[in-house]
Amino acid sequence: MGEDTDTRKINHSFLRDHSYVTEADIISTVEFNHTGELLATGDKGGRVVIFQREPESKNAPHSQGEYDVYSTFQSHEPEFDYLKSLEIEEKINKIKWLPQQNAAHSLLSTNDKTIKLWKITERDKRPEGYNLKDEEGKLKDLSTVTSLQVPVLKPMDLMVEVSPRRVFANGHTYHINSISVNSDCETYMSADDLRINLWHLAITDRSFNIVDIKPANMEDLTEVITASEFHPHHCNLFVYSSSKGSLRLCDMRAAALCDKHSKLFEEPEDPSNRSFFSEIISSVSDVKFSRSGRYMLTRDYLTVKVWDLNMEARPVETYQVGAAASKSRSPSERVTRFFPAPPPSASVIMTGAYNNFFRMFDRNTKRDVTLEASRESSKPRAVLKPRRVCVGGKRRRDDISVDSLDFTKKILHTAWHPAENIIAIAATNNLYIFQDKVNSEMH
Amino acid sequence: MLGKGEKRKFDEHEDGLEGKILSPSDGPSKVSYTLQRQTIFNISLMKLYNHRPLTEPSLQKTVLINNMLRRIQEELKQEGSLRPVFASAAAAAAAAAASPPSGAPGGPKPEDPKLMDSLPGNFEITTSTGFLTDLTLDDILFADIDTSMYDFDPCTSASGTASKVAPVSADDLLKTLAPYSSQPVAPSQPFKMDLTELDHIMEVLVGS
Repeated sequence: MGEDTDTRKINHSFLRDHSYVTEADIISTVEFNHTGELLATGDKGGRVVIFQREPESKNAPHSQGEYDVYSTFQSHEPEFDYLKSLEIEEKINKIKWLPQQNAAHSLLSTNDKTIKLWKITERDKRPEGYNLKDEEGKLKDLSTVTSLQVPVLKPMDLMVEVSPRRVFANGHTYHINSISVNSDCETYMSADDLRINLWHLAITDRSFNIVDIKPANMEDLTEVITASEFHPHHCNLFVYSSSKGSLRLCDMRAAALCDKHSKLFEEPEDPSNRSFFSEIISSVSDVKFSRSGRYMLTRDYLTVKVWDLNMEARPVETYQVGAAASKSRSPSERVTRFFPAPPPSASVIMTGAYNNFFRMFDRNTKRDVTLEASRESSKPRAVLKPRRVCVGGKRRRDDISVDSLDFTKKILHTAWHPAENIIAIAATNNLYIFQDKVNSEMH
Repeated sequence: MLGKGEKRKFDEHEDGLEGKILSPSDGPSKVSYTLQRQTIFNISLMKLYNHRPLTEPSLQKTVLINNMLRRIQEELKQEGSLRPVFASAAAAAAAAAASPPSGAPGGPKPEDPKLMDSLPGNFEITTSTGFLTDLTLDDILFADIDTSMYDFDPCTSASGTASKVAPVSADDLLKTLAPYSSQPVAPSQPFKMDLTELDHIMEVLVGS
């Protein structure tokens, strides 16, 4: 990758102390909108911060295309479920932008239980010259009003207003892990551990259950849904991934309840690789369709896989994320979710890993590179240096030994600009935005 | 990298739990496989119960850990043979554990009522205690898996970890388990399982 343009921190105005990372600041999701002009991040404290790309200016060539904070709002608050005596976390699990239909932007944000539709509007004019009210808004003394005037719109400083337009509540018993807007722009689906619901964007008091894998006896439960997404072009198709590493493609035309899949994508387990952790490692943490809709990208603990929709037997490409990811000792680390990012050109795949590393794979040249997102290792506008992890044996000067990897620093969320080679990487509480200005090829 | 199949020396086994595909039937490496399995069992149980008390545990995590525990249980069942004299006792205990703990008034664990009332919680308690009951009788008596340390009640933590049944590699088992145990154990101590302690553990786990 080429230069990196900027490093931005989440707006800390809510915090008391800037010197340490509070849990509420940890970024939990990152998503570009359809044009790439806006970048939304959600964090564990239930806040959403939207960044906007500055228009390129000829005067300052270095500041073209940088992202600045556009709006910050509190999307979800912590709640308490009185029936179960349990807290409901305000952490934002997913944000999805709606296709833009007018001047306003809309996005869906969700925590474990409730999905909300937010409308983001700009106001840069305000009316002045009311007849009955003065400038401060106080009622005028009518005896002083001698003539009528027509209020005029005067420019004002840009104000970004965010308002909740819909609240889709009480649809899920279990924790929502993904939402996906349909290509019909009217419906969307939300998936929790055991069920997937179909909603209409305008109707909040009703949703349709389209997948239900809850067994009659909960003791028989061995598999959960980990992610789901609608096909980018066919509004009747969607895919969901499971904790056992399988993908199921479902067609909503087949039945109202799509428990029976149309296609099942599963790679047979290699018996020589079997270990205690086989299942945990194969659990798919995220699935995404490629732009064309022909391929799917999945991430499990050790690999990123590319699947062809026409072939269910095994993936067409598998990329090892590296020894770095395999050295964790505790099983709970393995339920970490890494989110791959399908790039605009579909020739490069990016995914996050441990130690604030992220990996990029070039599908054409089969080369890959490991890069680090940290303030210590990269200055703004400096070229990122590839990192190498060595697994014992000879160690070169700048190599990181596998034992010194920091497994608490994980890059769980990455996003790729829809049209350009700009990537957003969320590392704990920091957001890094890297841009390839020189060319689109990897070095 | 995981699953490469390399056999490592016995004293290095702690460094790379994942690097093994030892099959249980290998001679000298059966011991390290057993230890590995025990350690994974310990970790899994700790993970299962180690969550923030106020929030709902992640169902995915619970399912994955339970699947692993089930696999270990299956392996143990295949390996060891049930002695007939204990078979009925095991069956009775399993039945007692499988029936939903109603109310558990003595409920030693503070999070019990919450977990039992919620669906994923039910799932947790019944399946995992189902395991442990089968395992406590079958396997403690056969010295494969030692669950006597899983005494989560602070009031009764004094007892229960003092004596253990001796497996083939007793000293090594202790060395492995020592980091997880809160009490120091002398490696050369002779082991014996007290049946009253066993009952006590059952009470803590099942709540009956």
